[in-house]
Amino acid sequence: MPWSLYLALKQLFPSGRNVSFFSILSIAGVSLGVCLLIVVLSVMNGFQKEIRDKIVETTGHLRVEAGSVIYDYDGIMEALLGLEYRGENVIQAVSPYAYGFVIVQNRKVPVFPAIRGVDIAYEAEIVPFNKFLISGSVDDLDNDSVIISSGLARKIGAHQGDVLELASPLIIEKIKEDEIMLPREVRVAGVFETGWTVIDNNTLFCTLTLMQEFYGLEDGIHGLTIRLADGYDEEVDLITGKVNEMIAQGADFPLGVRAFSWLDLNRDFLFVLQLEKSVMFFLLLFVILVSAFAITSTLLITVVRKTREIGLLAAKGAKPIGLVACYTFQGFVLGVGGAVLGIAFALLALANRNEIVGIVANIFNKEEALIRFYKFTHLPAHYQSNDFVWVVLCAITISTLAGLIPAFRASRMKPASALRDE
Amino acid sequence: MEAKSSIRPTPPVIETRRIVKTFPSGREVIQVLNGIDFKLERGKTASIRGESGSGKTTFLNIISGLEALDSGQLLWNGNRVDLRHFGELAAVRSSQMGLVFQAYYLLPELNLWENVLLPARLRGKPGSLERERAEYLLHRVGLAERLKFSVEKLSGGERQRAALARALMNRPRLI
Repeated sequence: MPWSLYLALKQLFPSGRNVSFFSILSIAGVSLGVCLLIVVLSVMNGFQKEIRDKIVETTGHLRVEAGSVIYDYDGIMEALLGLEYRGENVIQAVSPYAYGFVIVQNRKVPVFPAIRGVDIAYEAEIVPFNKFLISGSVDDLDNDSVIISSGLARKIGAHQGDVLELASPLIIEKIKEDEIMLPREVRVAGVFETGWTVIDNNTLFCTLTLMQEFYGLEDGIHGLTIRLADGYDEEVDLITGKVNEMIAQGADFPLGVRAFSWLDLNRDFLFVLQLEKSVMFFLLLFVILVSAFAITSTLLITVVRKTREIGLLAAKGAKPIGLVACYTFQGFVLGVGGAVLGIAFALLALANRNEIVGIVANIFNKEEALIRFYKFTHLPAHYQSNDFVWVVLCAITISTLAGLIPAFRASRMKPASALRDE
Repeated sequence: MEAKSSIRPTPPVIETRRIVKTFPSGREVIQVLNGIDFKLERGKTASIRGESGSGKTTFLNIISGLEALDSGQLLWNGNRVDLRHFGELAAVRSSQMGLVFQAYYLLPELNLWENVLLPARLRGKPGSLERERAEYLLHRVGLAERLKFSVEKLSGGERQRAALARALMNRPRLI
């Protein structure tokens, strides 16, 4: 081992003496920053993963749309189900849908929710309705009934079994033609809650037949929802490209048909999630920066305290570059020590995160508030190896750079002047 | 200043020619060394004496390459020394000179044996020969029982002997 590294380790961990208090403080500072970063990023990853899983669970992996009504879609469904990607049938299920808005009225409270007409036999293979139902049953859904989201049910005070009035936007068209289209009475077959606020606030499901009737689509649809087989979540963009390739080459597809992945459809929302995480990373990095200042001041004090020893080293043949290496390496070691300890603390905290949340909620007596506002009593967490790599790299780089100022100060010392300090 | 007794006159281990050294002091300049000529032949011992503040330490710093001079020449083994090249001087000093300071300057984070081994470590990775030599030197100065002792636990006399052992570590030509 070069003398500079040897001496750096000896200054941090002296032979036969206790580890310097300054070293412990510096390592504690870096480890606190690393721990905070890992915990926050992992919890944010957990929330992101839950949201992403929820989006896929409620909307499928891909959608095929044309921007207009698609007729004769049986051939498209067949072609999609036969698509091969790397020699495998990757499309597990395809479900036709029609989509729009309706006017819903209950007890003279009107709302304008999104309505989605689906063929429940196909859609059940994509969306686990039974898992989301709070009341009622999917089996009760027929052409005279709807399933409504929990938020919508609250807004209009509707429950399972209630009868709602649904009016189609076609009313306006009919009025132009001097015709009257009366609202349709439908029964609430069930109430669902997915946990995905966008859907839970204002959505209504009905049969595809009812929706086609409502929107005057005849046997047309607005699009197809696709679920991929397990294990292809990460390759959804590539598979979307493959589907579009097939559409471009297939003569049976109507003009304008195009596939969109759930990533395409939610790109802005996912960007905001990623931006939040990046901002968090940036802000929490300042904890490590503050620790770096502590490292700089600690090492500067060491250099001042050891002026004569540095003079002695120079007198005994130590080169300035060796002195630079000695003090920079100390910053590096403090960074590595802080990063290792920080990761250990973070893993410990994350492993016991639910207990910690429970204790905090108990102390403030706010467990109910957590459930009511944040819809959770447990914190999700998801580890991403690149987060660990970035945090550790930043911590070590910043700590090493923190050692440079004292290192250059030490290397510029003139041995005779340093020894004359006696 | 004068060196005594001689067996082999050339080349001198140390030679200075008309060395001048001044230090600024406020608006004034203090001339500490005023054209010193000095030679020290191999195998000789020299004693430098003078009143306090007369420039003994400055002169020793200059001949060991630790301090720059204003004018004059310094020669080690007949070779002129350029005091501007500190890095190169450090390597020569490490292999050819053993320095013992008034205050010893043992490093507190190293134990006694590690302190003595330090000059060898500064030249590169010390092997078993160097490790044994450090032990041997400590044995010679009567500190064989204190190899792993913290230097802070040593008495003043013991520190002095340890500093001497450290100065001898790299088999220097000049102490």
